[in-house]
Amino acid sequence: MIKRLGFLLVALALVAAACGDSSTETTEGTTATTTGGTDTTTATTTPTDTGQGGGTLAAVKARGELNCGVSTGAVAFTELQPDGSATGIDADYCRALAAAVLGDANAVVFFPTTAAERFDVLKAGDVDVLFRNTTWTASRDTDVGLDFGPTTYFDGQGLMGPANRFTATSGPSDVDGAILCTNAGTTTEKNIREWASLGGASITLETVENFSEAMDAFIAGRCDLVTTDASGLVGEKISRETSGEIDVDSWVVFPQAPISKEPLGPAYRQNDSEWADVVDWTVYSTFIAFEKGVNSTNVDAARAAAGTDAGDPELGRMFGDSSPEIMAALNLDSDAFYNVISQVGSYDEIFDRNLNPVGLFRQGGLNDLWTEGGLIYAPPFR
Amino acid sequence: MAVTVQKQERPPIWRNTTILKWVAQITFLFGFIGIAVVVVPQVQDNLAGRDITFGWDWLTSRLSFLIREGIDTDPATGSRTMLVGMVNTLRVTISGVIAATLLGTLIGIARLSNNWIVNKLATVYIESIRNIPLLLQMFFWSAISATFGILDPFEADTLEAGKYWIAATRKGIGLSWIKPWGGFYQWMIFIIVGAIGGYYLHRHRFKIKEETGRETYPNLSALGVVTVFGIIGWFIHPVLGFVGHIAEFFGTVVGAIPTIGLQLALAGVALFIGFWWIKGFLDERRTPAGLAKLTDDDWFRMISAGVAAVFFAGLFIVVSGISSTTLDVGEDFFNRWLAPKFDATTNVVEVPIDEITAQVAAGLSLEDIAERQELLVNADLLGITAADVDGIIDQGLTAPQVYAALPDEDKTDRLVFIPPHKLVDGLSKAQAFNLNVLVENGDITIAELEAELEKDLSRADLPMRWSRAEVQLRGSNFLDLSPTSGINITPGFFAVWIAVTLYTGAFIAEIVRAGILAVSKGQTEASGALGLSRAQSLRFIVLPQAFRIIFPPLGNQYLNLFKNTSLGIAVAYPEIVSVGFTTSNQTGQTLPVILFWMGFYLTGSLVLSSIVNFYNRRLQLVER
Ligand SMILES: N[C@@H](CCC(=O)N[C@@H](CS)C(=O)NCC(=O)O)C(=O)O
Repeated sequence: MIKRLGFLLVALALVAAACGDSSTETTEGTTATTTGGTDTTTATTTPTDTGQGGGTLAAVKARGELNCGVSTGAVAFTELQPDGSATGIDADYCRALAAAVLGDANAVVFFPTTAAERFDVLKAGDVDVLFRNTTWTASRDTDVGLDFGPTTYFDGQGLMGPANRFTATSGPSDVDGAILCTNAGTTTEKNIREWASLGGASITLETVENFSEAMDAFIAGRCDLVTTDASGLVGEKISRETSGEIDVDSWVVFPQAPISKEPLGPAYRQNDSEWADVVDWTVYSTFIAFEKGVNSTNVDAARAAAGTDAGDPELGRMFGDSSPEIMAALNLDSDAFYNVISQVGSYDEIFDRNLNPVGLFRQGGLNDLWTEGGLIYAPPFR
Repeated sequence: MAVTVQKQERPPIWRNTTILKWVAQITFLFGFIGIAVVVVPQVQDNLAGRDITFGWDWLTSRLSFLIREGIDTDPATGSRTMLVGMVNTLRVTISGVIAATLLGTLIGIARLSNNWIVNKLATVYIESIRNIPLLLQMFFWSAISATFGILDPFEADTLEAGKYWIAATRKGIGLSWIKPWGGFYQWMIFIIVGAIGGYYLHRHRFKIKEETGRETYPNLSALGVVTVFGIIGWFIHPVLGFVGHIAEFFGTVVGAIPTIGLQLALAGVALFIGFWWIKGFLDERRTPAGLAKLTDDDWFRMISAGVAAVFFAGLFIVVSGISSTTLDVGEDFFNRWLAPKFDATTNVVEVPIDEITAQVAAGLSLEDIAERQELLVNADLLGITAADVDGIIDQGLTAPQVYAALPDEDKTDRLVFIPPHKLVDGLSKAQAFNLNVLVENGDITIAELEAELEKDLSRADLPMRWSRAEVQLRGSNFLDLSPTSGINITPGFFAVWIAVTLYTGAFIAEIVRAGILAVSKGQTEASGALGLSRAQSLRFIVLPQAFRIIFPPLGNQYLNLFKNTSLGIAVAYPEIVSVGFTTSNQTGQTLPVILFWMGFYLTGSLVLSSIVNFYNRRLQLVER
């Protein structure tokens, strides 16, 4: 009995200690935030707990590296390289954020995540932000406990099957009785269920961990079709056609009008508005540069021109020259967005570089500038 | 010499065991409550700080994803989703345990074989399988299944539609199988009665054998009884159709019990058990001289029992959900599950034959009539009128398509209509129900059903039928295994099952070998000296002793197998971990899902190990 009591006391002591620990952590987190808020250069405190409500910005600066959650491999969005770096539009946005916060587009550590685990990885504080083909949805914004930044790619879900039995106009009735493959933990799973059931088609869904496994299963004939965001399907198709792995147009992506809305953009932990502002305005800075025709090659000239009396005042403010107070309020260096454009590029540059090679074009679609009928639009920088 | 009788002094408080014990017990109790009160909110706070919410709402809310295989591929709620995952885990575990045991025993004996090749092959198998990570082996088998026959009607060298003994395809493996059919459950009653009779006959004859030494063939006679019952039941099982009505009656009775009634009954039972336990406890301590002195420990136990009884009684009263769910499940069990298995079901509507004849006379095809009736009998549920039905038929919609639009909870309520021509043909309700379920699920069309009936009529109410694997064109021309023929194994199940079977089999083989070797040679020699044949010595002397050694580590291997199935997510097998991941991703409830997993594996392991312990205890030598 006495022994048992002893045990209990030890256990209690442990629990008490654990509680104490976590509360100190909380305070540490907040202190670091204030430090970061007032003086960015001295924000070299001990590594803070990024899992707490705020303080991600300070934590990233203290660490000197951005931990960016990307996918395990999605053509033109995240293509992991053997040396640990990554290319693709999502990877480039990680880089842009690192350029804004740390002044160095290469200060990024890429964390490949599967669709199912990504939100846990983010919420546990292992990554600072997700650029991982993540669709902004109401439940993720609320229940799941995330916040979302501006959409960087307006996508929609599609299906892909062999061209000998599907056409671009195929619909639910054509997939009745089929087995479809996709990856787990996605909006894809939800959409396809609703689409098929509304269309009166009965389907079997085979879910795997990574989308590349879904492609393997499709190619092996384990399923009749694959489904995911149309960009992913087109990317897989074109890159395989270019490499000669499949004949041109032996697969077809359908239906023409996507079956869902998939606005893909950055996701970060809830209730950290300081960090949210930084991520959002980094993305907007690439939109504004796009709108003003500024890109990595002409950014120096544009910055110089903006400094003159006849120059574009919005660009002047964005490059931190005419009103550094906005940059200070964002807790960023005044040339943060200059770094973004010069080191990574404007939206059109990032888009064309990554997506044009796989046959995805902005022109005339949702991902064009608002003045051209697209949805790429940034609030004014003032 | 003066003897001083010293009055026994009370020990100081800190050494008084009575007081110490009470203090310890109370501290323990309060400490426990303290943990609950202090730690739980603290944990919740910390979680909230990390945006990790904690709740169980997801168990009852609608998730939205299809599952590849299982008892429900489109589960309506979170709890049902998890249930599908649990059943899938258990499915692969149980079949894996059986297969691994058989394989392991064979290989274990092969390892002791004098035949050089057999012996070495077994060694190679064990050494290679044991030393390759299980996950890799799963990937391997998954890759193997991608080399099976292709199913694509538009490609050359693909498997054609038709029946097969075994259809190994990339979409799954179809095996021919004996399947329960129309009269199965009625027939099972005969088998069960036969088995009970056989058991008693066995006991009786065995006793005679032991007493008189006369050979009475207890095993054979028991088997004989079961066989006779099985054969008679095979032909006359339809007489048991009334069981369905009894089940229905029970369903109605259960449905009529008010929730508060069950609440009170359960609370009463809880209090009674507590009271009964305390009374039994006191009785045990009662000697002819009266009640023995109760120790502190005795008081603790009685108080705990009393508190527990009151706690549960209160729980049943306060949480009315326990009672109402029990009642719902009970009603469903009788009405929806048990009754339809017999020749009676509330969900079936008969349509008078004159009505049908009139429609046939009016020039409608049987197929159209069937579709019409199917919709008509469900008009209320679908919220349509008889006039709408014609419009629906004209649009070429089928009944299953119309049902697809129904909310899930209504789908189970729809009435099943038996096409009258089946009744004309003299089908029983149960047979018609069976066939109709196929039509309802969209597995076969009415036309196919009629064809099936033509040739299957004589066999339609057999308890079981031999069903060959079948590749068929489904939906809009997709070749796939027919869900109603034979049994189908998905590539995911195949990879998990074969990997855990081979892997665990290797360990079991070593355990079996060690167990046999551990029986000392003297035993065999002694039995030889007693004049037992080799087989007798193995059967009566060696194996019983070896089994005692083999059993406990065998149980551990079963536990390992159970837990190893959680790797299924890697090869797309939707077991509990896999569906749990998706659930937590959709709801953001990571921690509750993890707790759910832990609860499931813990319960499963405890149940498994108590079964193992139970048998282990029975196997042990009775020592005096
Ligand atoms: N946008 C959807 C789907 C995201 C998704 O998983 N997309 C696939 C293909 S475009 C992907 O990134 N796969 C890479 C991987 O599995 O790691 C969502 O947010 O749920």
